[in-house]
Amino acid sequence: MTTEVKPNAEVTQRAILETKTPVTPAELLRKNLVIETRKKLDEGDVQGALVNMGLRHEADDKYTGNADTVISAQKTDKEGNREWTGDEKVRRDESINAIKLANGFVEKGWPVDAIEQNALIDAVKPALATLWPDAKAFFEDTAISPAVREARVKDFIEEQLKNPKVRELVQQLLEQRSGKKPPPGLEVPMELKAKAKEVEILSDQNSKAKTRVNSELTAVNGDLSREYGDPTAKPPVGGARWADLQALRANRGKNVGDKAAFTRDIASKDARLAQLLRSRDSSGSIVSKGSDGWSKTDTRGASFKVIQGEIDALTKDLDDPTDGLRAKLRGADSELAKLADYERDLAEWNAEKKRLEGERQTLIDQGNLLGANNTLLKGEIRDIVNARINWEKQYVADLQSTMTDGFRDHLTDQLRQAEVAQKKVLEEQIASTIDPAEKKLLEGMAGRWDQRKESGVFRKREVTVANKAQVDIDYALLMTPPPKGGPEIILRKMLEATGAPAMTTAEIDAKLADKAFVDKMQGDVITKLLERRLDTAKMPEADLKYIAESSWGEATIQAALQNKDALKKLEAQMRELGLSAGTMHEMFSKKGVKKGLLLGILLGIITFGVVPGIMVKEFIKGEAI
Amino acid sequence: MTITANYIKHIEREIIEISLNALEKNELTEEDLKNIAETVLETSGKIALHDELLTMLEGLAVNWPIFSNTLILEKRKKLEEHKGAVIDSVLGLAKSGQIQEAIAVAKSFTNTNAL
Repeated sequence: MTTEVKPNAEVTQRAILETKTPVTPAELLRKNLVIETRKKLDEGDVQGALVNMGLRHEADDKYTGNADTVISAQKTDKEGNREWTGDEKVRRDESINAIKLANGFVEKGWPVDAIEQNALIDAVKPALATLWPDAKAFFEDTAISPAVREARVKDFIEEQLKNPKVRELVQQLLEQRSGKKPPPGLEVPMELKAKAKEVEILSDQNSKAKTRVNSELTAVNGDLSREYGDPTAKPPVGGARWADLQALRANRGKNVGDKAAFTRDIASKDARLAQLLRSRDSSGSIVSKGSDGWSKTDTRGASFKVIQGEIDALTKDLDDPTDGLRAKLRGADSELAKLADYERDLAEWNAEKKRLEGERQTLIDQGNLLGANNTLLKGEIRDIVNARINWEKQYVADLQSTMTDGFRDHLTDQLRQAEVAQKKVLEEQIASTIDPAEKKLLEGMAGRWDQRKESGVFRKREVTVANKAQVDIDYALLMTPPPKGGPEIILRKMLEATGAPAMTTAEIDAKLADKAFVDKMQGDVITKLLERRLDTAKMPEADLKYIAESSWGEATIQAALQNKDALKKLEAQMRELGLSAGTMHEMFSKKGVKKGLLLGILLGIITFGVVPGIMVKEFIKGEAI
Repeated sequence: MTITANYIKHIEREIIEISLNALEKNELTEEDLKNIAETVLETSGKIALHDELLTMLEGLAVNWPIFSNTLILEKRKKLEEHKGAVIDSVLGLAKSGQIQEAIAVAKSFTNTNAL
């Protein structure tokens, strides 16, 4: 018997190759409309069905990009429609949502809806935290409740997101990212799928064949066991025929001998009987039967009787049903025939058993081979699918960070612009000054607390960021009361620093004793240091208060107030808040003004270009810090 | 002739089924479905008479011929109802000996049965 394991590969392959192409978002929506409406009808909700039918089910490709087609569904249903697994569906939904969020922002800008606003804020917050940890610190570093703090963060982000440049950046990123398509190598080739399907079918057939062979083998073993027991067992276990077989086998020699002897005897006695019958018949042609069966008057009666007696004896010997030779021959024949039957059955069952065992082994070998092929093919497919999944995850992650990255690029641009402007001013100052000490301080301001760093996602920029280690050292020194610390020590450190022009201690002492020089430089230097401090770490209210109320704090505030650009921004922000610029100026000159808060606002506006509106309002009201 | 709320619901269901089938065969667009739904939602709540139902169906069939069959069936139902009433009336008149009147009523039906 051979196993039927013919693959119908051609049919399988065709079926796979004919799998329908993915449905478009419009088709999906249409299907959903039909399904949802029918569901309502089935529930008996006719009004609900009408309402659902009347809802707008528009497929807006620009809101979903190509997410629907890019995210793969590895399976299809019977109709060829894609069937997303849980993870695939999550990736699809996440990418669509990310595109919708960014696209909504590109189209509408800052939304009116609070939920949409919060979604945008949540999306861009990571940029604040990574690019400007100082900003985060700044916003958190207040004695204000978390709710108000959140409002400040929101204020800041809102202000930035209202800038059309952010929309431009987000749009560029969105177009670039949502239009991505997976590289060709990440599609599982149809041939591979077909081959895997073929192996799957063969494995299934193999498995079924094994089941069948096992069942047949069980039946044969059952027959063998039932009839012949298990002769290999110790002691042997007998079946129904076992004892018979043993006896028949034991008697076989005797039966064969008897059969030959009986046959010979029968032949001999048959010959004799025939002879006697002929003699009797030739002598008995005139015989008539008397009361004893034969005529006593017959002269040949006596010899006839002798012949007949022998005939009778021979007939009995030959044909007696119990002891006759023929009966004995039949008995021997019968036993020999039974033995032959038993032996034939046993041999046939054993042969069948052997054949089935062989077949089973072949199937097992085939199965192992198919299993190995299956593992290889599945592995190959899995590798491609996994690579595709990883690509899709990156696709989703890129889409999800579109807002963040656009925002980050915008902040980077702002930083760079501010930096270029500041650098220009400093360079002009350095070029125009002839005092070596002043030159040295200006150069210190231009580089002492800075370092270069690459930033930006879509548009890479090398920007200047604070050199935190140096800022921390100098800030700690600044906050240490004189004579060990304070602004004069900072100035001294800067003048002592290596680089041209080199200054002697005497020259430095002389310069620091020059009140006009110190007054002129100290405010700008310290303001710059504080800006950098704000860039790198928290500046608690207590620090701001200490600085503002120190003997040199006024100079710092005045220096900050000289930053016309910052004041302009602050005034613009005040106008937006409905506060007149005049009021702000008046507040600056008021006695008992909250100088800590004032300094915070000034530094914030210089460093970040904007401060939380609530902070300004609080300052105007004079209620905080 | 007045109709029940259940009967209106039955017609609404039929309209929905016809619309969905047509959408699946690309014979209607989502926009069509929206307009059909709006029409039905706006009018079906106010329907109490069979004539009003016919008016709504006529409105639908003018814009979307897929509803013509429903309209024809409903008109036929109305005709059958009318016919029944005429027969009753003719028989009543005939039994009471008003033969001329009975003939007049029967004629009026044949003149108006081309609904």
